[in-house]
Amino acid sequence: MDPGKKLLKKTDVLVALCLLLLGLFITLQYKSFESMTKSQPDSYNTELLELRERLRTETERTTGLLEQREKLQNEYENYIEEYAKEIMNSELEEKLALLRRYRLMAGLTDVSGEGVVITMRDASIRKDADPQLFLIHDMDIMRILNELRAAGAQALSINGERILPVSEIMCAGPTVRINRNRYPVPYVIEAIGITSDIVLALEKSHIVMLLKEYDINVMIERKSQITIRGYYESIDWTVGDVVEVTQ
Amino acid sequence: MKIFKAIAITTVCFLLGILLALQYKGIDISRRVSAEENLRLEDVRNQLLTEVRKNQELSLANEELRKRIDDFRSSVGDESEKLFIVERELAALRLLLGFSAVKGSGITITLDRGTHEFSSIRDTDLLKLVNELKASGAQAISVNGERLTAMSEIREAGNLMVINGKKTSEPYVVKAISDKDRLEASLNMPGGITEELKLYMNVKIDKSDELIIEKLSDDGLVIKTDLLTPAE
Repeated sequence: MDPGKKLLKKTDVLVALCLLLLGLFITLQYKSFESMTKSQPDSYNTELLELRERLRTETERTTGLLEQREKLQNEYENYIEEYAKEIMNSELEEKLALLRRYRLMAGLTDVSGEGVVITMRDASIRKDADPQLFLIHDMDIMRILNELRAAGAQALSINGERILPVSEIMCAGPTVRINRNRYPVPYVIEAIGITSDIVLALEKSHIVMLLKEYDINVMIERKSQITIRGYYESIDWTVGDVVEVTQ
Repeated sequence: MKIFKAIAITTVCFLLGILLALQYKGIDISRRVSAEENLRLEDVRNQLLTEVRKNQELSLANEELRKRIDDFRSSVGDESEKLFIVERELAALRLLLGFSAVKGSGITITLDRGTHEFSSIRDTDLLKLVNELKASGAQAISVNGERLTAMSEIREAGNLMVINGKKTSEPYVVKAISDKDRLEASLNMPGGITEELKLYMNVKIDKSDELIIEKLSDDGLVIKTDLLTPAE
């Protein structure tokens, strides 16, 4: 038999071609798999996984610590209340009453009353203008709070974060930082105060008009009863020395 | 022999098909995963740092509160000890609320228009400055002697400024207590607030180790609580 004749058989060529392609694909597949796992240096991946794992643990710990803190605060609060009922020492009784009053004033406890809920959302960005104009900035939030304060609000929170004398409002991208915690859009501001006074002040205010001009969604709702949570994290008290003033 | 060849070709083509599909999927996944991961490492690291710091503070604060409750409980009958504990917390609260004057390291910022005649100082300038100070850790702040509380407004009314319901005018003297160098550094950051304000007003910053910030001048009117009821 002529060996050349067999070599050139049609089906053989076909099989050879298929096998060639197969080989090519296996190599490609292997290479792309290799590059998939090795697209970042191994140390990068290990570090990332490790960091993520640690972050998860820390976040769980935070939740636990906050729950514990709230429980302790309530225990303390209840204890003071119970104790104040029993004692006969009028000086201590007075001080305990003052302590409870100050804690309420400082925003360390949950409070409720009539109030207003303001929800702010970024406008959809128009192609023909600077996108910055249609986003909510920290100054917008500060100015809304300023109006609320001037209208006699007695307790304020943003996205559930109680506003304290030391609370900052800093925008970082699509999030806002308050009391060192970050929250995304929409921003929900809650205020306890005389509802009609607050709504009137907001409707008249320059800032709400300005925001509406840029299509930023500002929704104002009156509520006969809202609850604003207290601040349960820790505050750095070590500021300086308290001095007696002679005024 | 023919059947064998047909089977071989079928098998090879079948495998080819599977590999093609796998190949496509593999590329798709690898692209998505790496985009996500590239974005995250720095973020994850920063978040972790914040969280760790927060947890340290929280566990210290919890320990402190636990101790306060225990102290209170263990001093059964000893009312002078209880008075002492309550008094200590009251002092801290007075400080936060602005009911007591405070002395410490801090800075004084004086703003006036000077020769910049074309504009006046706006309430937004002061709001921004105060917010910046809070963000850099200021614990007590006053503007022209008015101690700022959580409910203090800073609003312009013509050429005047209304703070805590009282009218005041230029120059504005803002005082803040915290680490004086840290406060100054964050205000003077390139592209920061001082740079911005200096475009149309005079900004003077003085540092002091013994800065005194006044207490809230009228305790009853600024912080009202008549509409608040303790929530269950």
